[in-house]
Amino acid sequence: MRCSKVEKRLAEQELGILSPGKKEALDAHLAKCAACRQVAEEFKRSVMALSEGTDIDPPQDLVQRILRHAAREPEPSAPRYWWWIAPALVGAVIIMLVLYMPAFFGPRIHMTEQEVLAGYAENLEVLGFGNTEVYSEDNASDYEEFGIPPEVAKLLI
Amino acid sequence: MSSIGPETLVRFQAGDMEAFRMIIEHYQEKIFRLGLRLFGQTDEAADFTQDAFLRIFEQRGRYDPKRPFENWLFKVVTNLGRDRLRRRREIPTNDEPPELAIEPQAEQEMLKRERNLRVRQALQKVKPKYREGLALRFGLDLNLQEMAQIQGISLGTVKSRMSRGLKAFHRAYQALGGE
Ligand SMILES: [Zn+2]
Repeated sequence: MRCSKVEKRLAEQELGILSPGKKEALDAHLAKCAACRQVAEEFKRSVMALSEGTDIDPPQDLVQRILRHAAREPEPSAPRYWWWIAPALVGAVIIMLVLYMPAFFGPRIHMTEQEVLAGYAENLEVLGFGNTEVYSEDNASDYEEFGIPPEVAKLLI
Repeated sequence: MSSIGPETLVRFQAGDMEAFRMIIEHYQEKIFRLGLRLFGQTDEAADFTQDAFLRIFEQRGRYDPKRPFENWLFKVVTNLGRDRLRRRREIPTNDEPPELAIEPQAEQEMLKRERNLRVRQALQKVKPKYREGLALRFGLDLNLQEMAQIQGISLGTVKSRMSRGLKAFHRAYQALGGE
């Protein structure tokens, strides 16, 4: 057996896949070759270091971090998620169109929010414009009375 | 450490976060240390561990309860590690200093830390396809048969990769000072 084969045989021995015949040849070679005995010693130390556990622990907040992320992720293969996001996107586009179409096609280049609303209600006073009241969710139903769709009303609160 | 029972797995598959937490707590150390061997750096190992569990959570519906959970988990994690190694543009510089979390009291402990660091640095010098095997064998304590299953390669390929990998590791480790 040649010296150049020794490391391969040592690796196979370590993995428990060295045949008895090859093991015999390896041992015979090591018995008469000091350089390879040295290699075998070092090899043993390399493998010991590799097998040794490590002291480093995962970061303490890792479990929490993972759980937080997992809770935020959409349901894996459940179509439920897209089920509502698609109509919501369509809704959003419609709202944008409702709000900004008059700006593009109306007689004037720019319309204020109030002017857009005027398309829905004649008397803006009733809607609360013109006074300093701060609107709450409760006002949504007020808008709807004037024929303003709830999606638009939400934007006005 | 007790293993994860079937009722926990059922709850996990149903999306129960408490069951998921039990699984993370049970396996995080193993996965993190696998990550350390694959990537060499603690930050990247932590990132990898997080991604691994999120992937497991995401794919929980694909786990077949009739089969061993651990095999499935390791397979998903190994594939993720392989992808990550592939996507990496270059091998990091390995200039990470020894961890200084707590000043090691005993010299033995310090030596062990230095060895650990050198092992990770040497692993970074080993080709990814060999490194993967070394990490599974010496990080997760898998036998060659289990590795073949998890890596999706033949037993013969595992054997030849592992003997080449060990030889490559040995050379890299000795080049870094051995001990
Ligand atoms: Zn020799």
